[in-house]
Amino acid sequence: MTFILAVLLFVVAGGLIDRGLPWPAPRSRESGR
Amino acid sequence: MIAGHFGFSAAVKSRELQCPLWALMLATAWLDVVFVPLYLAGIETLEHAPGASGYGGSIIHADYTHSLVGALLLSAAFGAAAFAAWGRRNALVLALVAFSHWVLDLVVHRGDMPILPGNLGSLPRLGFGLWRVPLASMSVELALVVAGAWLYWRAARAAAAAAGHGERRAAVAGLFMLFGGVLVLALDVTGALG
Repeated sequence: MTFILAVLLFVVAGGLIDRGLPWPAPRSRESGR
Repeated sequence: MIAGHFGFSAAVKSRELQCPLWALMLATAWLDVVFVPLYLAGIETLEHAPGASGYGGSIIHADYTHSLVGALLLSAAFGAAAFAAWGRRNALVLALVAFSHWVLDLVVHRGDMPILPGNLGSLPRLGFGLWRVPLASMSVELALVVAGAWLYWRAARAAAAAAGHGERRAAVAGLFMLFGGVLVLALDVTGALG
């Protein structure tokens, strides 16, 4: 149960909070782009 | 180990700003995510270590997901799935984070991690057994959580400052990493959720 809670907490909730931050685009460090 | 893996992933995010956090968090838990259905099917199992119980008190027969070769294959599969969506660099980062799970587990597991899937060939099982000293393994996990949250917050704050917005959200996200990690570690140590 702790593992499932942790996955929900960090993957879902953490991911949602993180999406609102001004990070570079996922492909921004690809060579030649 | 649960919380420590997520702390490590938060630290990786601070260096790989372009990599989606949710994917890093899923990558670090990937071997255990695959373990769950195999456990429910009775293919991989847990048993109490002699004289031990609670936090770190299990011998884990995850002979496929947590074998060295199995972990490499699962990590490569995770990276391959990420390649189409996010390109080569993120695929490599995510594959390495997925495999970091095996490396961190190697430190704490009680010599129950085989080299080949299904313990083929009955080769020696691996694991340095830090779970035998619960205070030490808790300390390692807590250090990963605190360091990961701090590095993540510092990177988020710098990204927000560069963009001219998001400072408050960066602080919220950093605190979430810290208190989320401490909560998960506390639940793991106390066994409050089973």
